Amino acid sequence: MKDKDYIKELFSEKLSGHEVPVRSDLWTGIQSQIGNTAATAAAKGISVAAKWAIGIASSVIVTGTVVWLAAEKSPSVKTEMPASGNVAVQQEIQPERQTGDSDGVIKESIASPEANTIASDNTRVKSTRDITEERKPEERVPLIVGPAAASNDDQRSNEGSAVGKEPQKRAENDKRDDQKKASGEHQSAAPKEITGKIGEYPNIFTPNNDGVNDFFHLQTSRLKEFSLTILDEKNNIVYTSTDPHFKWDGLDQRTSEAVPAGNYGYIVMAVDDQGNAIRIFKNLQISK
Amino acid sequence: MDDNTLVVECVKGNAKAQRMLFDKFASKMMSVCMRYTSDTMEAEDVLQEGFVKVFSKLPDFKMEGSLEGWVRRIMVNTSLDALRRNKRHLGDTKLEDVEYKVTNLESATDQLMADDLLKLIQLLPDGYKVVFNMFAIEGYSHKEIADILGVTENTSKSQYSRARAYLRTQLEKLEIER
Repeated sequence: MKDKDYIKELFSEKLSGHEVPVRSDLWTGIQSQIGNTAATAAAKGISVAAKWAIGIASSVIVTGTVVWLAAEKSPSVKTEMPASGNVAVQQEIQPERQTGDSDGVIKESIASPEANTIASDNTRVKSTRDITEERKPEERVPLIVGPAAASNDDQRSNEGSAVGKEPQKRAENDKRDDQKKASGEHQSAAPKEITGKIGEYPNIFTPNNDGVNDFFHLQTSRLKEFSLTILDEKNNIVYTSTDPHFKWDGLDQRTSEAVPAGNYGYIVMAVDDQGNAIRIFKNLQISK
Repeated sequence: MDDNTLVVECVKGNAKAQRMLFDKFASKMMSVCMRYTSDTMEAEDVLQEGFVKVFSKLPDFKMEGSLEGWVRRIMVNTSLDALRRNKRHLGDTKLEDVEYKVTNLESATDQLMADDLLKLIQLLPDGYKVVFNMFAIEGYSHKEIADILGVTENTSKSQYSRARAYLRTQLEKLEIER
């Protein structure tokens, strides 16, 4: 029962005031659709001039002609008004889009330490942060470059139950992409299929030379880049590899001695051949 | 400019004020729209449609309640309209593999950003998504939800509890895989 409230509280607390940045060119679309009201106002402003013109005209020409004239005149003014509005908006878009981009970068750099912090949740808490920060640059270099943010999302959505939705969604996206390309917008590309695979993630192994479960390895396929880091409880790196077919025998890479039994963690960062980033953190228990 | 002046100016057709109103609420409302849809483009469509409605209905806005609440309601309704239009069934979607597992979530969820939660919601089947959003975040009662969606109160309740259970499992997964 307490759990129930917890989920509700969590989501409502985090999301009720939540904001998602909006592409500012959306406004252009809205503005064009509410153009009617704006145009009415514009017409009001013009109507003074129009009346004046009518006044003069009517003094000269027959009333019937004037009505025709005014009717012709005001629409031509109407169309001018929104057009100039559009130009102004277009110009504003440029800088805002840039901020959007840098936003993505910042987010990415936040996401990475976060992943590491969670990693160290239960056992090692105190020193984690400093170490995480020291190590951060080195870890991030090889893999998280440009498309990581977007493709990471893809990955996560794929992990959820939405696998079945993917094709349909992609079709929709493609369709819309076509429409939107015309106006030169750059939207995150249609979700790419995740081709790279990492099989099961073991969470325990027993490097004691008894012939059973003596090595730690992952089943991987179709990965373009791969890196693995195994950390001990104090966040020391005991093993790293960039070979997706690595096999770890439980020896500390620094000393070539067997690591003691205990809790370890491993971080996998990979990019599959479609460019989707895969980042995994798992606990690994070593017992002998 | 306070909300009332803003509304008055917008109704007059002051383009600047209209832009201000959009800027003021757009990103919050985008979050709302995102919750009811499954991707950004869909959400953007709803947002646009919603704002067009906001501006057309603005003359009817009574200055009594909060403007934001009013705009938000329009966004929710527009989202629901969009879902209905897409002929998706709000009534009975099935969600397989809902597992009940009780663990201590606090440690993980503290770290979760609102963005992650939003993504989880987006992954829910439409029916669950709508009920969860309306009940947990917008604060409608099950009775109200039932009336709005044309389902029974029990449907609303059971969809909510399934959505909750699903989200809980997803949170657990995230906790492990981060």
